[in-house]
Amino acid sequence: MTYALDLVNQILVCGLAALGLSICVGHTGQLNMAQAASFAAGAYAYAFLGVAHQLSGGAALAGAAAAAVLFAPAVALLALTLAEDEFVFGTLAFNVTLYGLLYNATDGSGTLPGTTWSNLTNGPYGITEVPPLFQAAAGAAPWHATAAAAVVVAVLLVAARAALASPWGSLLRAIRDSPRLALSLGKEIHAQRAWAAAATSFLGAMAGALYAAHFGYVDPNVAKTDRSVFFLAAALLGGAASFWGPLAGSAVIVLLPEALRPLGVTSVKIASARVIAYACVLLLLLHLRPQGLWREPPRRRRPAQADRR
Amino acid sequence: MIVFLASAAEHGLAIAALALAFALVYWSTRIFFVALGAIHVAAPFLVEGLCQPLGATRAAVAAAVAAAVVAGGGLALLAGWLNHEHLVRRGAPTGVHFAASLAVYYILSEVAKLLWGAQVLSLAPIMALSPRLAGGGASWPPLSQLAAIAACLTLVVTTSLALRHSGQGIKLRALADNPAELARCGASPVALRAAAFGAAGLLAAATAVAVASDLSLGIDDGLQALMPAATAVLLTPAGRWRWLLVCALALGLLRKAATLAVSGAWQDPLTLGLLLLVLVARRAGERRWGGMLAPRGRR
Repeated sequence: MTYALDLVNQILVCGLAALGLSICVGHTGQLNMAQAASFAAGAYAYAFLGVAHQLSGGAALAGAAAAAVLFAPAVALLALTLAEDEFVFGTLAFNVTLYGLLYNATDGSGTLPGTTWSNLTNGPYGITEVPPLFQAAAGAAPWHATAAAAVVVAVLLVAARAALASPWGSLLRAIRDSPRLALSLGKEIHAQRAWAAAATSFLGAMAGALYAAHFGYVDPNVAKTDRSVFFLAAALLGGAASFWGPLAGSAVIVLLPEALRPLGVTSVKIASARVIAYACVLLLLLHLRPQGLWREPPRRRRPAQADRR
Repeated sequence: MIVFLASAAEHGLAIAALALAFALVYWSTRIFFVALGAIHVAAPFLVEGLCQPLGATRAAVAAAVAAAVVAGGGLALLAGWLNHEHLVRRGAPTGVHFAASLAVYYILSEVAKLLWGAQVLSLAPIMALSPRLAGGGASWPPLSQLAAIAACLTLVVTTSLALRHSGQGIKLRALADNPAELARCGASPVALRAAAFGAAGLLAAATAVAVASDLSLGIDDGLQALMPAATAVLLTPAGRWRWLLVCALALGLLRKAATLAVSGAWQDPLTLGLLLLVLVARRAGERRWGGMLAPRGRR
């Protein structure tokens, strides 16, 4: 039961981050490599509030959402100023820089992380005993926390769905398909890309907060570039421009190593095989649909009213 | 002071040589060849792997080094041919090239990890260049460090001179500017791109062997090693090889100064933070002042 709940939690967290990434990658056509940085920002914000300020899970999640709103402009600034390959490398550099900051923001004193500037993140040792969304001491069963995480993810999915179905979503796709046309119609393409990057970052940070709540521990590895590649592979596997695709891709990517376990492969080899599998999936998709990755799946058009008459 | 300067020079020249390899591909094709990082770190492991059956004689080490460098060139050529050439034919945007190269990087580095384990390696024991020089009462850098500096300097100077005085440099520039016109003049853009990838692989592998003759390289450090080199390339206007060397040496100095002042763990955040600042300021300035601040290569 606990094992199944753990897998469900992982799929929810990865799915939310991958869906967020799909707004940037699939709907706007910008390859964003900073999703792990946003993920880490949310995870650390939740951990700080839960551990250093002793907030309950719900309050820490609300605080993490506020921190995500504050963090998103940093990624948006990159989208506002950089384009194409510079944006890709810029986001990658941003990710590595944040990882370095999380790794180094410690004096090794072992004091409670987040309470002093000298030991802000506790460096490579990370932050332990992060409170879950529901405290077991309050009589909550393990599935309560998973259900709460599912509710949070569902609310965010509904909001993302509404945003992508709105005229703003159409504008993003128009900018992706023909930036020059959008520019000629007076649309601020850089500003819209920045908004999309901010939305991506926000969802990534919320996924990070749910991750911290579920695992009860965060360390700088949450900001590693590998994680950005992991989210990217999940988003691309299901189809980055479709709404449910990133969620389905996340399910496949989370369950893939579990399928390898009965074969008796060691955990170190599983980790390597997992990365190789993600990279192969990514490579295959890029080669099969280099132009079409960001595009929506073809829709069957309903016959127009005039055609039906 | 001498030791610090030698260390900064070694680091700066290693960045310069790797940046030169990276720029060979990036400036001529606009492809971020990230897989170069995996080829770079795999080369010393290959040398050690080949030395085990051959023995540690001078001739065996030389043969292993040559084989590793050629293997690096071959791998880069293969990655360019199978991965990027196919994407070029399909008109893929630069972001797709970047993601594909990153995927190849992960495949290569994980395969290397499965082959040799997640370990760090120095070729200093094989090269047997450890004695420290003495004299004048000052502390001198070890012979292995001086050899690494000399090797990196040789690689940088040889490649720069070859690009300047052979027809290849100007052809690569033409490939960047107008591949269609280049093809009409009788040159093959496909062959030139392959040459750029192959040369980049050779140079990256040779640099890794030179650096590993003094320092340790980890199998996971490919991206970390490539980042400062890519930073130097991005901070330099396209085609300005001399500026690239100056920028790489300055980065080497800055990174070693950061190590001395704070710790080695601050090298990457500082380098990449600087890159982000410059990129954002440069592009924001271009938008605001209509290209007045743009470097010459990009106007």
